[in-house]
Amino acid sequence: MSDAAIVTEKLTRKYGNRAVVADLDLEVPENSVFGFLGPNGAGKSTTIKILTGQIKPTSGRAWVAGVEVGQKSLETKQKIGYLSELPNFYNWMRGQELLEFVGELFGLAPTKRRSRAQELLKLVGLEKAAKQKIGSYSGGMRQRLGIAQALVNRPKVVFLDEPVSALDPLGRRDVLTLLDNIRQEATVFTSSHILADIDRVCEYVAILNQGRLIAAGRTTDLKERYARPAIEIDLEGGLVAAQQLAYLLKAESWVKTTHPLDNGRLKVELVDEKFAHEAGQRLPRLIADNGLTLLIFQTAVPNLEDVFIQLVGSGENPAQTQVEQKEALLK
Amino acid sequence: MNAALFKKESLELWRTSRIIIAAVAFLILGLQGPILAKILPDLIKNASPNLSGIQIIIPEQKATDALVTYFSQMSFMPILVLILLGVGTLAAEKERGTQVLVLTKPVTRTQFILAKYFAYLGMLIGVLALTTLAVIYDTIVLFDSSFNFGAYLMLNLTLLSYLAFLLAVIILCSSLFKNSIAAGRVAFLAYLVISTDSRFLPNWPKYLPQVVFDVTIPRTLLGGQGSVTDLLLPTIVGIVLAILTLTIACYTYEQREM
Repeated sequence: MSDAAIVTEKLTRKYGNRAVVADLDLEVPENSVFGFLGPNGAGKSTTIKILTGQIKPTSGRAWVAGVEVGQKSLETKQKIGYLSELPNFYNWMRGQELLEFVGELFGLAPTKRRSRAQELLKLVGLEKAAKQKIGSYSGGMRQRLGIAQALVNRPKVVFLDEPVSALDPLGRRDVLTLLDNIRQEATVFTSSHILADIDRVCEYVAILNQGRLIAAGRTTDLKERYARPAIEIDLEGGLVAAQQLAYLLKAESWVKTTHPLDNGRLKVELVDEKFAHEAGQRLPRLIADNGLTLLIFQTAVPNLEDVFIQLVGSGENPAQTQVEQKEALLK
Repeated sequence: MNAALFKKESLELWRTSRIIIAAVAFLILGLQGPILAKILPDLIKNASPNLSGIQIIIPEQKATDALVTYFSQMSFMPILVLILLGVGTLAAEKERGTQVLVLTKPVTRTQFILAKYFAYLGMLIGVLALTTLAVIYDTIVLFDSSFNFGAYLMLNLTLLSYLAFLLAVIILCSSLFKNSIAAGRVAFLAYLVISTDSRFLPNWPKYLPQVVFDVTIPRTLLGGQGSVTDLLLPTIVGIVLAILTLTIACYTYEQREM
């Protein structure tokens, strides 16, 4: 078996006749931050539940930190950390108490678990709330405590199911920085529907749709491969002007699609890169001919959202791409 | 059994006031036995002017009557309290999602169940010991007559084995449901079946721990007649039933997914 932190082979989980995860082949490199993406119901949480031993696969096999999942479950659990999508704790416990309790479950000696708890509370910025009852913690504090408890045993692999979904922008930033730091010690396997966050911290991603893997590889490679060439345009008159231009561009054969952006700009996706030159010539003329004023005209930087929309939105055949993606990931 | 889990469960019973609630309920209900036995003749005497023409002869109430009343008092309400306190122990953890926190750590589901069971059993032993002492004190203060102290202790031990069995049933019900209310309903139904089974098994009562709620056998034993060793078999049956039920609970819980 390879040195990968996580390996799955034809991993399948069915509920009745419905396959929630189907023939999943995945390899997650060691000490990487791996983003696991997919629309709601794609099978992300189910995969994480299988890998953390909460549920059993219908068929297929999986290894986490070199141990086969389901065979030596206590050994696997000794090597992993896990944060569920909606973490819940014992409200009557205090923050530090919870971390010490988790440390005790991992067999840490009293002095060691106390110092580890203090270290982690400091890491997640909860040292002032250490003696506070968890029942009084806010959603963000619970999420940070959840990350701390997932790190008590210095795990080889950390599974985080939607770790930033309940956080405000500042909390998200802190947690993402934390994930970035953890990679020195562990492999981080995280699912999220906030693509910008995944884009920021994950060097590898896998995209799941309807239980099947539709893309996997280095984030940069996927963006290069799947993001369509696009141009970002800023017009005087903001969104109204952008909508007017979008209407005019419908008639152009080299335009694949247009998206108004949050900042009032218009993103114009091209059918192919070969039309970039034509777009560069025709767009400014079209804008001027229709009485619009061009402020900014630039090549759009591809992001994970483009890749995601391109793959999930296009309904690309998952079965066809799976082998191909695995090869890409291993490169 | 996992010491960390047992410690956590015991601490939870204390911090969530379950121990206090159980102690207060058991003490109030237990102490009612001797008090009721003491005031019963007065209550009937006070009511007798309204019962003209009817002559009621009340035998003098003794310590044995007080203790028999105590044991019959323990047959319903304390068990209801136990169901209310214990039935959420696993179901609520599933409901709230806290079981995931524990079961993704290196512990088995059997360890998880056993820690809960023994923490509750520890609470039960403590609370019953306290009630046993309080009732004996109450009885000695209120009644002059003597009774067989060894039989009283043995009857309490048999009562404990019955409660230990019911506790295992409660834990089993809690492990089967994701909802405390559903688990509570089934546990109560199971209790009703268990508490009435001796009526359907006419030759069995003396072998079952429910024998302590029978009026005749405790009265005989407390009065110094019969042998205390007669309670040994019902006590062992209670323990065996508890172990069997707990084994079923552990097995089914191991098979279920989170």
